[in-house]
Order: sequence, then structure tokens, then C-alpha cells
Amino acid sequence: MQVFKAFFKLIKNYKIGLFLYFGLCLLMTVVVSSNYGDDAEDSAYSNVSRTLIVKDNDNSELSKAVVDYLKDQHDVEAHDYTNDEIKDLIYSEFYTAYIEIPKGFMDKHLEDDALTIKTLYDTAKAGGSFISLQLDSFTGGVVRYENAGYSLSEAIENTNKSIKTENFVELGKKVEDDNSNSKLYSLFLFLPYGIMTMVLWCALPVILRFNSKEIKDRTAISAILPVKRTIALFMGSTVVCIAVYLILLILSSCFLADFVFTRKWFLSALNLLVFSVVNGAFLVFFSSFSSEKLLKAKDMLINIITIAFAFLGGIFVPLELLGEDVKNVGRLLPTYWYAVGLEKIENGSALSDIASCFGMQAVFGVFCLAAGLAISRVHLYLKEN
Amino acid sequence: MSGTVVEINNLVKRYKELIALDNFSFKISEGDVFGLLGPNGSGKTTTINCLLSLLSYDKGEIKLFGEKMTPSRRDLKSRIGVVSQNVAVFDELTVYENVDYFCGLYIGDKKLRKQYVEEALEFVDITDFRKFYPKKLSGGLLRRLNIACGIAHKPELIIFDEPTVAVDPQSRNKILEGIAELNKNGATIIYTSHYMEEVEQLCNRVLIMDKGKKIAEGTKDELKGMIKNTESIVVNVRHLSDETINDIKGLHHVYDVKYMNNTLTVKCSGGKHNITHVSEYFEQHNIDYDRIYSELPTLNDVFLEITGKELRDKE
Amino acid sequence: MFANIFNYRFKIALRSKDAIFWSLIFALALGTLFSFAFKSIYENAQNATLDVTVVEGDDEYGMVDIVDTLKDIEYEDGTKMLNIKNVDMDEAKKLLNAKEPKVSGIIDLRDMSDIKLLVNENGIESSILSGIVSIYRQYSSIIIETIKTDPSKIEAVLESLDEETNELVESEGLGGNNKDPYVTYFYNLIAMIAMMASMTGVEIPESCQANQSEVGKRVDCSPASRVLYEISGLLAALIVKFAITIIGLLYFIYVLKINFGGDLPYIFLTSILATLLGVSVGFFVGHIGSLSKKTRESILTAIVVGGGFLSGLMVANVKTLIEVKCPIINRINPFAAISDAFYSLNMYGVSDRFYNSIIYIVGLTVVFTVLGLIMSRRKSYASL
Repeated sequence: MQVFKAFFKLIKNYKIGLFLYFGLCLLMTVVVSSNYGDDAEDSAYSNVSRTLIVKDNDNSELSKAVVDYLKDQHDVEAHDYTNDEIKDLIYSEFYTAYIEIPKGFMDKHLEDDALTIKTLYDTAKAGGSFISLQLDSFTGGVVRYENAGYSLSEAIENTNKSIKTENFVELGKKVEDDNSNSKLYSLFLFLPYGIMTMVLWCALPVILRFNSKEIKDRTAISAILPVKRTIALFMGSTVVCIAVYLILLILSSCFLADFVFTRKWFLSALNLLVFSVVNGAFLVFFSSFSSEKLLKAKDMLINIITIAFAFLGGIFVPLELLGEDVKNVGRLLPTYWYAVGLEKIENGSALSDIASCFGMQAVFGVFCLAAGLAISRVHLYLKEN
Repeated sequence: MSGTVVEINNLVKRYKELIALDNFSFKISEGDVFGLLGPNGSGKTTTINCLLSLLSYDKGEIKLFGEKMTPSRRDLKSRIGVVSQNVAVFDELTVYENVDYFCGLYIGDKKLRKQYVEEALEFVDITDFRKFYPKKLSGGLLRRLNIACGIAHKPELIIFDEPTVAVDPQSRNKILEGIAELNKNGATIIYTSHYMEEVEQLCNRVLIMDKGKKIAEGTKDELKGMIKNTESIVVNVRHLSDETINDIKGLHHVYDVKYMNNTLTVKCSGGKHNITHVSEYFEQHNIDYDRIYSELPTLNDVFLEITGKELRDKE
Repeated sequence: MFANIFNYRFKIALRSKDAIFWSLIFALALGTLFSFAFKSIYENAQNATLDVTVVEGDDEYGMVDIVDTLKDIEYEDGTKMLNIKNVDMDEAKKLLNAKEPKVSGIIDLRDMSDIKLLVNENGIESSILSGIVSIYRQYSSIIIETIKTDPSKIEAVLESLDEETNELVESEGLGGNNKDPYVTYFYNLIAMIAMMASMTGVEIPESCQANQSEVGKRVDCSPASRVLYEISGLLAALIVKFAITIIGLLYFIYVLKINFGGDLPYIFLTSILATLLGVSVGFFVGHIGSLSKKTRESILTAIVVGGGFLSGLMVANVKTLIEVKCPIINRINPFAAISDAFYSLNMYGVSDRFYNSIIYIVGLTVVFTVLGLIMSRRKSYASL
């Protein structure tokens, strides 16, 4: 009990830090919540939808047909960006391509000196190539029909018909996940990073203080058993984790009014709770071999741990984008199982399926506690002999 | 002695509600070893920090070497050396490098500095440890290194702020001898401590302070002369009756008698042969005693008599 | 005096082995992690030749050469789009529906009046195939419609179809040496390593301010010039931090083979200036009021983690999102400026935009350093 109480007395010293990191998490949550995918579910075939910037300077029947065709398939936005801004946005994959239809495009499209639609995209990427191919196929189709003797309106109509995927594309198997996730998913996916950041910045220095040579030695010669000390530290860490968990849960739920108290929300909240407790165990594991020397390096260490856990667990970059090797390493971390669990919750998987992910996180937690205890015992044994 | 080295007039320093220095004034002349004595929290270190312009103060004036001391008076700072209460060295530098580094903040000339650093190391007797890093030094050696860093540039005024805290007796003696020698070589010394034995041994002038105020100031004898008690006679004796104690109280020059734990303390004010008078009383009344001896007043007695409390916390 | 102080400050910085070790570990560990995690992502997103099966039927309209045409289609960068296998429908379905599908789709040419595409997932590959198939549906519908309505025109129509139609779409690439957007993570990582140097910067005032350390008291009591003292400390810290950044950069470029996409000297220059900015931010924070060491560290951590987050170190498109919704944040965030300098080197070479970023980085450095030095002037403290 003494260790447990002292834990909270010490953590009070870090209240300014806690306040700052809380502000930071709030900022991150706000930013992430304003950046989530569309809530769409599809079971029939559809072409990949991209976000494009289209500028129609011609405003003619043909140019409108091109724009309508694109709008039918993609998210089309009209912005007045500079050339550099457009390049930046495409580079950072905010938009797939920029398309500009020149003035006089329709008037000259059948002549030798025809004007061209300008497209800007990363030519090495399939996404941009696909947009270009679609434009080629549409404008080429119109010209082909016109050359074959159809009027412009007929040509546009026939081209649209020939291009409509429902007329000729069949989907063999049922479509699996289509990568568009709810706001709840996006926000909850990010929360473990928030919890790890806040807890590590505030609780790790306290645990490292407990491990400073003098205090550790003093505790070692006292009547308290090493197991009791470890459990007290675990309890302390866990209480901090759960407190941070509750704060973040309430905070994020403010952005998720439509989801609160739904099955998805409850399961996601439970998933995060499991992660929080496991995080407490991880702290204890860390404390068992950390020393005062590490206290000086805590800034670097915490950044390495939180960023590595988040990347390898698929928190920052979706799991499907990561290579198999990365996933193999990720599987050893609770963040990975958290992310997989969340994905299952999002896809409406069976409870038993989701529970297995909670279980994997718990296994990590138990391993941390057991390893923490074992290391403490080894230290004690080495000291005694 | 000639000129005034330190002059503090009506210094007031407040920390919010707490008055740390309350119209505090004193002067130190060149060549003095000036003892600033007071219990923990009496304002000794605050005085020193104000004197060094590290701390701002609310009222008053501080003059060093006859000139007003401000944070930007580098000319005055170059004439001062400070040995602080806490060890202030770099763990990443060796003993020699630490002394050279701090000396380098005062002395630009490389050759001269080298000579000064060697002398300082020799002075505190840590030459053998010149290549050691501070972490490898014992507490006493670390204190000596701390002193070397403060005095290497041969300052005219050296401030020792409790330099012997947590130091073993051997190192303590060495430090005290060193300070006396520095004074002999011409440095004016300010020595703060709550160890009155050290102050008694070292200082020619003493100022006793408590709660930010000056309680008494003067030479040791002057201070002792301020109090009623001139001699305490201590007798180890068993079973004294109240009647006997009252009798002793009535003896000539005796103004107070205490009997506790088989020890009788008889306090006398003035007079000669007081011990003879007391021992004669015991012989006349056939009272056996184990031991009788006389104690001259200490600065602690001075402090006790003026403030009604002990100078040092009971240990 | 300056040389002596610098000499020792440098020794102190050099002998702080733990700090150096962890700074290096930080750079190398995160760099390795990023390279490990992102290596395959861009490669996977690049143009790839798709394996497809074509199932042919009776060639009643004489369009047999359609398969040859399919074989010749290329992406803009010259990569072949399709790798075609001619098999029957059963075999094709086997290939498509295998546990690990061998083909991306089946182009069903059995009924030329209604060319079909069979795929088993939505995605970019299927979308590309549908684009190609739609072109051939146009050809076939034109030919079949003509045969049905006015067979005498078929010659003329075939001729018109054979003619190269006007190229109505012109493509322009992004330019730049490395189009892999994931290299931005490395730009941000360098920015983070540089900004981590602020943790060293904050220690410089600590060692000469009486209210921050015991050594500070001693230095404050000395006649040494505060400005010179701090500048010498700043220089010593910088050299060590430069070395760490450069080692990190060399490791990224030569061991992890990360293509930063710009001229190496400019990349090194940018990294060094970024480190300078990092140290100066710490130097400035070290001088703010009478904050405790813990509070100063917390402020710097919030700057490092928050700035990193806003510039996309954690979630890549956050920077772009901010650029669209609140660009002013990107203008003032030092991380974004550092990351942008690398990015402009990659995309535009040594251009005005690169110089703008560099001027901003240098400007910020000067502002923070000068503010720090102004605040560092000798003063008495209200409490120690």
C-alpha cells in the first residue's frame, strides 16, 4: 500500500506535464476526428473511387459530359490551387489527380489541332494511371462514335453506356472490406497512441524514480516483498492508465455522438480498456530493468516506444499496407491485436472472434507482468549472491 | 585593519509573506574572518546570495570593496570566490579540468591559470586525484574539490557557505586549516555555519543571526561578555536534596542551578574561584561527588541566553 | 576565455555518453523501423503488370486482333499493363478463384457483342481492367451496330476505328526524384531528431543561471561574460548534435538506402540548419521565466511530439489536412518547415521554395537564439 500511495504522491509532481500531454492528445483527437473515411458499404462491383480536382474552363456539352462522367465515379472537387499547391497535394496523396479542361476543347476536339485535357498525377502510381485511362477511354469513345457517324450527343450517350461497369463487370466472390471505415474506427484506432503517450510521459518517470539506486536499495532492505512492490507499481500504473482511458473515452465520445452506446462503441471501449490495463503491465515490465540512467534518456525512449508500437501495430499506417515481415513483428505487440480487434468490431465480426484479440492483448500483459517479476527476482538473487 | 570589504545596510528580503532578512546590516573589514552564525533557516544563505547579487532584495544597500554591488559588476565579481553549501562541479570533467574550468572564468592567461590550478589542488591536497572524475571521489574529497574550484583564482574575498556539512572530521580539520591559511595569505573570509565550534575556532569576528535579524555582533570575547553567564560548574553527584540545591543557589555569584540526571549545573556570573566555592560546600556537608569541572561560556550559551533556544537542532 | 569555456563545454557534451548514445539509438531505431515498415508500401502502389486470362469464343465479327492490341497497352511510364493468358472459362475461373488468385480478372470475349469482365474484388486492379474492357466494348458495339444497321458502311467504320484518334488527354508527371510519399516520414524523422536537440539546448542556460543549478550559481558569481559563456555552450552542443544528425542521415542514406530525392550537400545543409533550430528552441525555452526543469522538459516534449504530429510524423496526411484547412499552422510549425525544405529539394530542386523554407528555419533560429540571449542578461533572481 505504501508503494501504491507513494506512486500517486510522486505523480502529482508531473501534473503540468500531464496537463500539457492531455492538451496534446486533445489536439490529436480533434485533428484525427476531422480526417476520417466515408461510412459506405458496398456489395456490388464498383470502380475505385478517388478524390480529384477538376477545372472545367470550357463549360461545353462535351466538357460537362467529361466532368459528369468523373463525378459519377469519383469525388470531384473544384479548387483554385496554384500549380505547386496541387503538386504538394497530389504528392501527399490528398488528391489522386488534377484535371484541367481547356477553353475551346469541344470546338476543336475533332480537328488536327485539338486541345488536350491536362492531367497531373504521379505517373508511377496505378491510381493516377487509372484516372488517365478512364479519361482516355471516355474521350476516345466519344471520338470513335463520332467518327463512326454518330452525333456528339449520341456519341456521349453510347460512350456512357459502354463504360458503365454494371453492364459488363461481374464480381466473383463477395466483396470483403472496402477500406472505408467509420469515424468511430478512425478515432479509436488512434487512441492507444494517446494513452501510451500520456501514461508513459507521466508514469514512467515516477517508476524510474522508484528504481533510482538509493530508493530501490532502501526498498530492497525493507520488509516489503519484491512481488508486492511489483504488484503495487502495476496497480498504480493501471489506475493511471484507466484514468487516462476514461478521460480519452469521454473526450472521443464527444466527437462520436452517433455511435455512443451502440454495440460498436461498447466493444471498442472494451478493447481500449483491455489495452489500457495491458499498458499498465508493460510499464511494470519496463520498470523492472530500467535504471536511473534511463531517466535521462526517457524523452527519446518514450518516443521510440510509442512510435514503434504505433507503426508496427498498424495505428498510424493501416495494417494492409504494411508488409508481411512488419506484421510478423507487429503480432508481438498489443497495439497490433488492438487494431485487428477494432477492425473486427468495425466489420461486425462475431464476439468470440473479437474476444480472441482481447485475449492476445491480455497474453502480452501477463507476459509483461511475469517477465517483470522474474527480472526483479533475478536482480535480487544476483545481489544476494 | 584597513578598508571595509563588505558593507550591508538595512537589507530587507521578503519571500511573499515571509521576511527572510529584516533590516539586516553589518560590515566586514579587510583581513577579517567573519563568522555568520545562526540556526537553519535564519537567513545566512539568503544574506550571502544577496551579497553576491544572485538574489534580488526589497530594500537596503550592499557595497563590496566600497562600491555598490549589482549583477553586472564583473570587476567586483572577479575579486570574490565562493564555496557553496552544495558541491557545484561537472561530473563529466576530471578534478583538474573542473578547477581549470572554473578558474578559467576569472583568469584568461593560460600560464598563470595553470600555476593557480596547481596551487589550488595542492592547497586542498587533492593533487593525487587530479585525473579522477567527481563521481569517484569520497564526500570529503569532493568538498575539497569544491573549495579548490572556488578559490583557485586567488580572490580577495572568499565566501564559505557551510563548507563542512556532511564531512568527516579529518577532512573538516583540513578544510578549517586551509581557510585559516587563506586568511593568513591576505584573503578576507566570510564563513557561515551553524557549527559554533568551527566559528569559535576560525573567526575573529562573529555575527549571530536568527529569523533574518542580527542578534549580536562582535569578537568572541565581546559576545561572551554580553551575557550574564561567565562560568558553568558541572558536578556529577547522586541524590541531592532540594535543601542542598537551594543552599547552592545562595552561594556568592551563583544565579542559576539545575539538577538533572545526577548532574548539577551551577551557573555563575562574574567572580573568581567559583569552582572552589562549590567544592568546599560539598566537602563541608560531606556530600560525595564523582567529578567536578568548570565550563567557560560558548557561543551557544550566548545564543541560548539571547534567544532562549539552542543554536543547533538537537542531534 | 571563450576558447577555454568552449573547450570544456565541448568536452562535457562529448563525455555525456548516455545522452549521445540515446540520441543515436533514437535516430537509428526509428529510421530502421520506418524503412522496415514503409519499404514495400510504395512499391505495392506502383504500376504493376496485371495477369489476366482471356476467354475467346467464335470470332463471328472478325475481331481476333483484339487480343494482340490488349497485349500492347502500356502505362504512361512504359510499363506493360497486361500479361495475357488464353485459357478456357473453367481454367480461368480456377485461376481467379484460387486461394491465392493467380490472375486479377477474366476478360470474356465469347460474346463479342457483350464483352464481359469477371473480377473477384473491388480495387485498383479491377478498375484498370474495367477501363480497358470498356474501350473494347466501344469498338465492338460500333462494329456490331454498323453490321446490323448498315453493313455497307463497315469498311469506312473499320477504317475510322483504325485511324489514330486525336490524343485528347495529356498527362504530366509530378516531377521530383523520389515520388514515394513515404519518404516524407524520413523528412519528419530528421526534423524530430533535430528538434530533439532542443533537450540539449535547454541545458545550456541551466549551467549558468543561479536559479537553475549549483554550477549555475558558481558561474553567475564569476565575471565571465554571460553571452560568451552561453554562445560557447551553444556551439559545443551544436557540434555534438550536428554529428548525431549527420550519423543518422548517413545511416539512412547509405545503410537503409533511403532516397531523399535531393542533392546530398543540400540535404546535409538542411539537416544541420534544422539541428541549429532545434538547439535554439531549447535554448529559448531554457530562458523562459522561472520554470522548473520538469516543466521546461514537458514544454519541449509537447513541442516535439505535437509539432511532429502536425507535420505528419504519425499520421501522414495530417500535414496536408492542415494545409487545406488551416495552412497558417504549417507556416509556423518548425517541423513543417524542415520537412518542407526536404520535400522541395526532392520535388523542385534548389528552388525559391527551398530557399523560403531555409530562410524561415534560419529566421526562427535567429529569433529564438537572440530572444534567449536577451533573456539571459545578468540579473538577480527573486528566489533560488
